[in-house]
Amino acid sequence: MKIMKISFVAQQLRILKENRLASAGAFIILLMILLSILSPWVAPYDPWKTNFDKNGKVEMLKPPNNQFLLGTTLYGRDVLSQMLIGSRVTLLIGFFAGFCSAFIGANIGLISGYYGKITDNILMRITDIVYGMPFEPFIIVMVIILSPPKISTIGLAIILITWRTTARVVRSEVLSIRERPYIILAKIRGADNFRIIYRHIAPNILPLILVYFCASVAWSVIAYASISFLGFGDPNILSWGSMLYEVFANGSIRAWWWFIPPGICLSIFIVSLYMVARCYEEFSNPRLRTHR
Amino acid sequence: MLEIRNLKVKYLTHLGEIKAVNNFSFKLEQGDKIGIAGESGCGKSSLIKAIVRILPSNTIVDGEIYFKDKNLIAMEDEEFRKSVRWKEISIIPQSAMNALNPVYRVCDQIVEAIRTHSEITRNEALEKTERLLEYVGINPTRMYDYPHQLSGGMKQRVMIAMAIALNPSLLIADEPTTALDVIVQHRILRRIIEIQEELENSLIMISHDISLIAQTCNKIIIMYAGKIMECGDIDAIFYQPYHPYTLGLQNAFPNINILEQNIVSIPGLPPSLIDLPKGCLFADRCPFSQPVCRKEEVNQFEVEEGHFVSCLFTDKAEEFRGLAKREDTWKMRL
Repeated sequence: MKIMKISFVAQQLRILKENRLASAGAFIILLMILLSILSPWVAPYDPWKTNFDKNGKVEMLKPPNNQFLLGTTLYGRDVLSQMLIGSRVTLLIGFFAGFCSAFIGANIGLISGYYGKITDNILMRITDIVYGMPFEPFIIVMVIILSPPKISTIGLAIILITWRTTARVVRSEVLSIRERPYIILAKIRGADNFRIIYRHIAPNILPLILVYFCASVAWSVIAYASISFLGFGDPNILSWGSMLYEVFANGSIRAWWWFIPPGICLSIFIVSLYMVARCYEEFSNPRLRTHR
Repeated sequence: MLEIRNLKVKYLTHLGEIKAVNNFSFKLEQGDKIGIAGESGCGKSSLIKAIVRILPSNTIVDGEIYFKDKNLIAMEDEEFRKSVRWKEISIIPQSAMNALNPVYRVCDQIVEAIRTHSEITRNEALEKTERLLEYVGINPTRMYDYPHQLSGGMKQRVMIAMAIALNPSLLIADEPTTALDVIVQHRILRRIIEIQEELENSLIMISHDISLIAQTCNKIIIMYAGKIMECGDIDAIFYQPYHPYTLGLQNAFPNINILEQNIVSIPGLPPSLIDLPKGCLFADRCPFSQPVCRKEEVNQFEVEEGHFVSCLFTDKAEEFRGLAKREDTWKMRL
């Protein structure tokens, strides 16, 4: 008999395929990742270079034209190139911080929910404390303490805050799953705690963890953009947030071609992430399905 | 082989202590097939959970459970997990429908059970799984199926295959055939008994269906409110019952030879497990109870070899048997 073996990746693709919005979202995300990887070759100009016209004058605040597809900044830099290069940091911090916070949150939720009692109490009180911290001010304070601002410190600060939601949600799901007959039976079979948590409980909540991974990526991207917008980002690194910051810092609010592209990119990226997350949410909780 | 002495299981709840098992003692020899019967909430499952140690943390377990001369209650968690669980005592659970993890294939779960306790390679374990499934009557090609692809009866048989995977010396079947139709039920029971006789291990079968126990076991324990009311060989209990509760239960089962038989049930409800009556626990519903029944706890009396009864009036059993057949005996109390 042919053994039906569905790999993890193939299964994820199948889930995405069944949902049009999610596959559109996934397509946009993949395209953005591809562009950000290829950005040094795709970008028409050096994003930091000040461009001059034939007469030696700076191409200051030029609206979109044939030469500069998305116009130029106050310092004569190409907006399109800046946007392409800026996507790298934005996506990198989003996926890295999102992954770490989902990883930490899922583990804390699993351990807390499975062991219960004192372990649960300690871990959940820590989560409560983190819940009590305001997001942006915490990151700003962290960045100031660990100055000069670097992406690594901002990333760390984001991870330290965003794991809380994942931990809470995963814990509540574990509380329900650990009482299921198959988990109790796994225990009678002699499975140790580690095996029960990671082999028997974790796969059952994987769709939920993926939902929160997507959401964490979105939160991280937003957080990094807001921090950069407020001017606490690394001044030497281009990101969509830092582009927005420069527009406002220089009072060039009328140069719509300067801030609309990075703004729209941010929104599209976040919306795409949520479309994928929503699909996984439906997968983990079929009651949310409205169609079919 | 398994000896339980004065086992007490209490659940601590906000309502008070729920005494699920009270002074339970019995002995199980190698090769015994013992059935435990009793109505819902009489402590059957609590007893099993105490033996395999999966009671929740708000429970107090008192007494001794000796298994092959080791006290299971005093044993360290890790030692119990490694040396007793599944290797020595395995369970065929009540709800086979939910007893398999939905995200793993059937073979993965059996292989896991085998490899947790023995040092063999994955391929050897897979071969063993194939043999086990064949043994319980499932085509081995189905072992690569996920649980949802199997029918209820097949899942139940997979559970049996898993339970005998390591040839445990004690097999506990916790209502192994609830939710199955009678034909599948019969087939599965026959399989369990065949396996048990071939492997010569002991079997504890839990059920509230006495006829099912009569069919499969050689001994029976009648439980009521966490206590043994009567226990002994199947024949002795069925043809020579002593305890009024057993007599009442007998009435409640239809006899295939008697047409238009009125089924007489025992009036009343079991006592609250939080606030147990002082004397005999069955006294409130017993048509033959005397004031002396409510004075102090009733001990077990051995009426003949291996036949124990917790009733003060074992000498009047003959008279009770006659009276218990009459419907008005049970009605008088209402």
